[in-house]
Order: sequence, then structure tokens, then C-alpha cells
Amino acid sequence: MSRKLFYIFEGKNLAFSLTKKLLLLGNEVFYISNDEKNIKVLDGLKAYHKSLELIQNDPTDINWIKNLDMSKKVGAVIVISEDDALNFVITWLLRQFYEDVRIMALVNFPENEFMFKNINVSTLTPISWMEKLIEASLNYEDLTDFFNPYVDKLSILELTINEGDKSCNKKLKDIKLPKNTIIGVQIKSDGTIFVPQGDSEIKVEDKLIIFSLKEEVQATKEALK
Amino acid sequence: MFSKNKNIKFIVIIGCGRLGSELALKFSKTHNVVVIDKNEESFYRLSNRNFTGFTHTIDTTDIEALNKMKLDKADLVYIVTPDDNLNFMLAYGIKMMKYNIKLIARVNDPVKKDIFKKAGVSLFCPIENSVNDLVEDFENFEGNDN
Repeated sequence: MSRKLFYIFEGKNLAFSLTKKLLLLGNEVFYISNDEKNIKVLDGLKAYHKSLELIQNDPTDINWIKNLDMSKKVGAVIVISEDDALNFVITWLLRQFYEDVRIMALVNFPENEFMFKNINVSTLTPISWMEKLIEASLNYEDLTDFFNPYVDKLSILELTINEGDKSCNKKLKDIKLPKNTIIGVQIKSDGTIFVPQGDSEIKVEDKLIIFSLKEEVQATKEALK
Repeated sequence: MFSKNKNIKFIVIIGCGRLGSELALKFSKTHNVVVIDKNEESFYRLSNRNFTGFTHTIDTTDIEALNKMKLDKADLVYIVTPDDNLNFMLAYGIKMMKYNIKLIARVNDPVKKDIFKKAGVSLFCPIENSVNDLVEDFENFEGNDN
């Protein structure tokens, strides 16, 4: 990853973790907040990372925004306060002056998302993600959907094969899976992991990671267990 | 009587603080007024003061809930919460949903006026207006003195 400049506006612990991560990856980070307490939260990182700048300034100051240095290679501008209205004003102003920069905003209330999308800002909506995750885990408790952005359509299942299961001691090509379902990864009991082919045999205690459309989950389980 | 009725307007006021409540009281004498605030207790400012309009408790940060209030039927919407950022976002969001709506937003910090102007949002700035009035009074006073 080539060295890039990231602007992070506001946010406390999230800003700290994100800044740390970006710095460790070798990037330059400018953190801007109007709140001295927030600046102090990130101040500890400065001891180890020279490429971090902490700026205490009103992030809705139109003249200041207008004069930001965007001449370097900017990875993204990330706006992550807990106040959607503040995030909106900052991102709206940024978009007025910097058409082509990638801007991302934390949207705390999903109802506000449409306004951010309208000004071409990528949104991070943890509440929507959590809703989907909780819904998914309520329906199928063995789903491993945490990093699945298509969780409302695509399910990622993890199944452990026991003695007597339909698929136990069978080759992949001999198992009839439902449509739109694939066994993506096979994990042996000793931890070895591989992508199975038609000739791969499923053994007791194997773990299978299966990609399946949501409506096929039940049929998939029935075919394998 | 009839010609007078024609001039009755439907006015929505978002935010029932000191400014919103005074505005509501004044308008409700001659117009139909709906006042919205996220905090029901804010409406105490209207009680016992002959307010004849309607009040609604809605989370003013929830733009979808506000949209359900049929704001497009309003002749004028005033957004007068004490938070400039919220006033801006609401003005922008409401305009996005109802393009032709007439709305006026309060700007508390005169420095923030330029943001609203840049977005083409009609605004009023009570602090700036007060300062202008005071300076004008002062100048008149000075003028009379000479």
C-alpha cells in the first residue's frame, strides 16, 4: 500500500483506533477536532508516529475547509463524530470544494443516510449492520456473517461434520447441494485448510464454510447434515 | 371576513425553545400553526398563553418522522432549533424530499451564515439582527445628541 494522506474529522475511540491502524500501515494522518479532549485522546500516538498531525479547529469553518491541502495523495476524508448533523455539515462543505475526493461519514441514524448519499459521500451505518447481524443470528445461529456485506442476501455458514451426517465420508462430487450453494473452504480437524475440489472427501470433524443464498440455507443443511 | 380568511397561512415551526415558542404564539393569533419539538416539556412555554395551534412531539433529528408531518402542505416552515448543524441538515433534507417547500432556517452563529447561503437556504440570524438594531439605535441616539 503506497503512502497516502488521510483526514479524520472528530470521533473519539473510533478515531484513535482508525488513526493508529492507518499510521501502522505507513500512512500520514491529519486529525481534526474542535474538542480539546478528543485531541488529547490521540495525543499519545504522536510519540511513536511522526506522520500524525493533530489540529484543533472548528471543522465547519468554511474558510479553513476551503484552504485544506488536498494536493497530496489523499486516501480518504473520514468524518466520524456521533452527531449526524455535524457530520453532514462537514461532508457537505468538503464536497463543495473537493469534488473528486473520497469522503466517508459515520451515519448514526440510518434515516439520515439518503442525504449523505445525495452528496456522493460513502456511509458507514453501524446500526444497520448490527440489525442485519442480529436478525441473521436469530434465524440461523451457526452463521459466520460478521464480515459479509451482503448479509441480507448471501449467507456464509460454518458447519461441523459429525459421524453419521449425510455428507460424512463422501466426495464433494457425490453430494447434491441445492442451487446457488457452494462449499468454499474445508478445514480439517488438525487445522489444515483448503478449497475443496470434486474429489475432496469430507471426513468426520471437518469444518465446512459454505456460501449460499439465504433462501437455500435450510436445504443446504439438510443436504449435508 | 372572507378576504381575511384567504390570508390565513399554515405555518410549521420546528423547535419550541424561546424563539420558536414566541414565534408560534404570535403567528397563532392570525394563522394556523403547528409546533414540533423533540421534548414535550418544551411546550410549557405555550401553555396558559392563549396558544391556539397544535403541538407535536417528534424527534427533530429524525427526518423521516418529520416528513410524515405533511410539511409540503405548509405555506412556510421555520427551522429554529438552537443547533446550527441540525438546522442545516434539516433544511437540506426537507428540501431534498419536498423541493418546492418554503422554509427559513435560524442561524445562531453569524459565522455559519455563509454555509446556509452557499446551499441557497433562506435564513435569519437573530444575533446579527439584534446587533444591527442596537447599532442603529446607537447611531440614532448619537445623531439626536448632536
